[in-house]
Amino acid sequence: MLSVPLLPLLRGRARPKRHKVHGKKKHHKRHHTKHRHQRHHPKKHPAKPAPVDPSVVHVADRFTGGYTEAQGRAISAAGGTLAWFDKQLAPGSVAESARAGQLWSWFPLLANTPQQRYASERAGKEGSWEHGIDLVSWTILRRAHSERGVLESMVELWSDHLHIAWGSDAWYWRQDFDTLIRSHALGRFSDLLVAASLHPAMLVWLNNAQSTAAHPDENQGRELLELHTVGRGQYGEDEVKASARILSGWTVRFAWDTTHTTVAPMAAFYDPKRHATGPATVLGFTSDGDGRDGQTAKDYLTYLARHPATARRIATRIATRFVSDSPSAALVSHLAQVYLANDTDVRPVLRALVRHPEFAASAKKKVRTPVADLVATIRVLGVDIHPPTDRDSAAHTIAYVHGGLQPYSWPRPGGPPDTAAAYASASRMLASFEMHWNLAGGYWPTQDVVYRKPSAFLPAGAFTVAQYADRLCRLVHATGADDASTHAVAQAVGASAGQAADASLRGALGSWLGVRALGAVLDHPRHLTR
Amino acid sequence: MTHEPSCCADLRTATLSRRRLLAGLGAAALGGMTVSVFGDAVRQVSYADTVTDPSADPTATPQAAAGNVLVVLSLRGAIDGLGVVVPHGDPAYAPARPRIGIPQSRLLAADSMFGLHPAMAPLMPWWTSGKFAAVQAVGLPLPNRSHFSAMEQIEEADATSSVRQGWVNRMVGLDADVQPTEAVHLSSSMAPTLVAGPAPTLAADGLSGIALAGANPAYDTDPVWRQRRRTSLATAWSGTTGTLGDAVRDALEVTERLGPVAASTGGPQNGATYPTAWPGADLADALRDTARLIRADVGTEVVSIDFGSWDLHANYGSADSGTMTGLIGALAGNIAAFLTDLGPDLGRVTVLTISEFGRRLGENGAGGLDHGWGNMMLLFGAGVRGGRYHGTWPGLTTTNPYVDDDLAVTTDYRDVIGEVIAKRFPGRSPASVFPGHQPRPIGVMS
Repeated sequence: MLSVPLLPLLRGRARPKRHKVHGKKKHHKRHHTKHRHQRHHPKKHPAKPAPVDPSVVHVADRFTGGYTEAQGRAISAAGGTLAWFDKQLAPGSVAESARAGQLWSWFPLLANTPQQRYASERAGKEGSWEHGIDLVSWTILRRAHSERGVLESMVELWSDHLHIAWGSDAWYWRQDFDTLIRSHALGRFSDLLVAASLHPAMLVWLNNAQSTAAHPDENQGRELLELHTVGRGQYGEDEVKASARILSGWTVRFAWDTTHTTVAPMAAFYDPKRHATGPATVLGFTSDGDGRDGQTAKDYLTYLARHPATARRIATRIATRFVSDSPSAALVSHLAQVYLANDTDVRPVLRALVRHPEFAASAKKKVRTPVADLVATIRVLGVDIHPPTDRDSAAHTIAYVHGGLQPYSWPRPGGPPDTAAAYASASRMLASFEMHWNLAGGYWPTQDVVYRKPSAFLPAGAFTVAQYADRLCRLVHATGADDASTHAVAQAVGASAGQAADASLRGALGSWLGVRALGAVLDHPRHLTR
Repeated sequence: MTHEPSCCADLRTATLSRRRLLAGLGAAALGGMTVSVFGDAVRQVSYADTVTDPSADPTATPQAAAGNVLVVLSLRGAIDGLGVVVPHGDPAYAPARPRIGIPQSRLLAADSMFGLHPAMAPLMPWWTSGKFAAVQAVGLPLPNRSHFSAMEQIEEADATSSVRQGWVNRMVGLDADVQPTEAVHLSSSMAPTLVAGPAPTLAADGLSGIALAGANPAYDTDPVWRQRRRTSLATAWSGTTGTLGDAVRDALEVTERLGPVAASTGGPQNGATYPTAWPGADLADALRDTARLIRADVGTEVVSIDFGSWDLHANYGSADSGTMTGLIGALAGNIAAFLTDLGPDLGRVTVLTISEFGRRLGENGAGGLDHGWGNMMLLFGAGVRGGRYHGTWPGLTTTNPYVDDDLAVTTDYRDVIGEVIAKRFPGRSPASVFPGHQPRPIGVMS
């Protein structure tokens, strides 16, 4: 099995020092003509690839499925980081990739209406699992292939903020809820909150659909305050009850409801008979108890969206997702001000965020979730997933490759955590490493997917192990190999960093040994963070 | 496998001696101590305030806990406890279940009130020898008919906190050891709430899933390449501190610890035969792995396993055939095989079942049962006062205000688990595992 000469592992400083790449072009040019410089850079040294602008890598890692050379070119073509970002805020102006344009047609279940999903389940055909896991697969592939990275990032953020698990009783409406989030993801939070709170998915998920005038259900009234808007510590239990009274009346005509024939089946509607008419006051919002055909609840939701405590929570969530696990109070306060000054519009908030020095200083401070890791791995390895032919196709089984919690499946209303501790466990690491190896080796999934062979990652012409490591690191980490990375690749392939690849080593690196080298670069802190 | 690294025997010795070391040292001596036992791939942090749980029973004998294991079988979907531990003596039972009820004549181990479903037959030897007990009318203090929400509530078992942390996670977090191998969830690679939380734990489809890609003895047969892979990872992560770096070092450690166990081909012992067909095959895989893990004695204290699709709103079946009888048969056959497989190790292993809620008394129009409240729990093995039915029977015609054709709950499920913890893990106090709950003795454990 061993086709490679087994050389002793080199340790520590005994390894020959290799040439380091300059971090900045400017620096390179400034010293270009100096004699000293040329002594350090003998002419026979192979040509270095141009260094990548770290700010491009950073914005791509935070607002797309992960940096790739192609993504870097798209950002440059748009006029640089900020110009690209601002254009992304109007996603309709960004041409979608051919692949992303096809994805909807790959998953026919997505187009089912809630009534069709109900009928399918009753007929013993596709039910909550098939519909839910198709939403998952489609979401993963959209994150991997969409050119509208900022939109996808914000869809994920709002889906986590206004979380509804696709495996819950609300499953009939979960896809429609996704459509709703997409339509409001880059707009005013007040519009999103009103539409999402009164959507059948939310009314069912948080039990408002079952609320009655005599017994207002407190679940959504409470979670609206605790999770979706102002947060804990801002309100008392009487205000939770008042919140429930204001929302009561908003319900859903279930498929089996033969009474409310003027309402479309499975649609949300306001039923004045279910509205608790007592007066209600919450955080300065007052209702005399008149539901006004559902308008009072809408006014209440808009009021909460504009509350300063909501502004702080939304600002904190956005800063935690896109800057770091512990954003500064100054950044949060700045973003909250922008949010309030722009009537809850998230676009100016995001523009302010990417222009803030704290954003620029936060590169690689976020841990990738297992799904984000999968998406980034698909992108850097160029895994080519084809239209599915059946449910064993990669387009479907990709949902099982990451080994983590599926998107939108967190079991509680609070949505998944967004800080490193939740994604840093031994099990997670082993699952992610397994995923990297499966995709690097093309081991799984195997149906309707094409992988690049390890030989595609070899440098052209003659190369040393260190040069090979550097090439892999540029591909996966968007930066040249540092000493530890070079050392790690050399150890993984059982060779020394300075060793020139002979025909035997080259052949092995182009096949089985290349998987070990790719594994070393993928199972790496630079790939597990963004 | 002839070139297996020599680490493993040493590792096991080191593990055991370290555990003894920690058990034998006083809290003061351990204050803020950091021990590195296996070099940089392993970390062992101990703090004074975690060495001894201050609310634990001071009269308990610490040695009693050494090597004890709790296996939690989560019967998800809400098992019908009235169909397993059948209250044939309650006059309301038979009329409420004209098609799906179990005739009294078919029951096993029947007393004047209860009897066991006939498909429980494989477990009767342990009932007879006093290693198998049942508790009836157990559950949450108030009804919760949502699978989702009741599972969260029952597994989290802490209304005082908004942190997602299961009681198993709290339990293993109460000692000095911070090894993720202390609590292992088998049957799914995503930890359920039960074991999730701040204390490091492991979750995997099976033992073979607790493996490092590229250094998995099952595939990477050459130890030289396995070692290269591990060395390479240690190098890549050597400069990374914080939770992510710790997680990788944990991963390296647990695969080194469990790798030999996972790769070993040792089959079931003592003549145990596990079911091989659906619906029991998946549980068989998990229990077979659990027995291997317990025999390897690598410091695992709690194993969590999910089993079943017990949500039988329709087509429940009869005593002789149908979905429920098939599932009970799979459960009983598997537990019997597991108890056999453990052999003498059963002396340190306690098994308990848990389910989010019970089902209604009356069968519905579809020949099934809708969501109810009270349920049963089954206990097996070490410390169990078996061969009897525990709990307080409320009667099926009670006027309890919460009851809606339900079995009322007279024993909080935390009292059952609390008693297991108190008797088998005397270093951990049930009050710390179940914050805000004052455990009540029920006598199911000795």
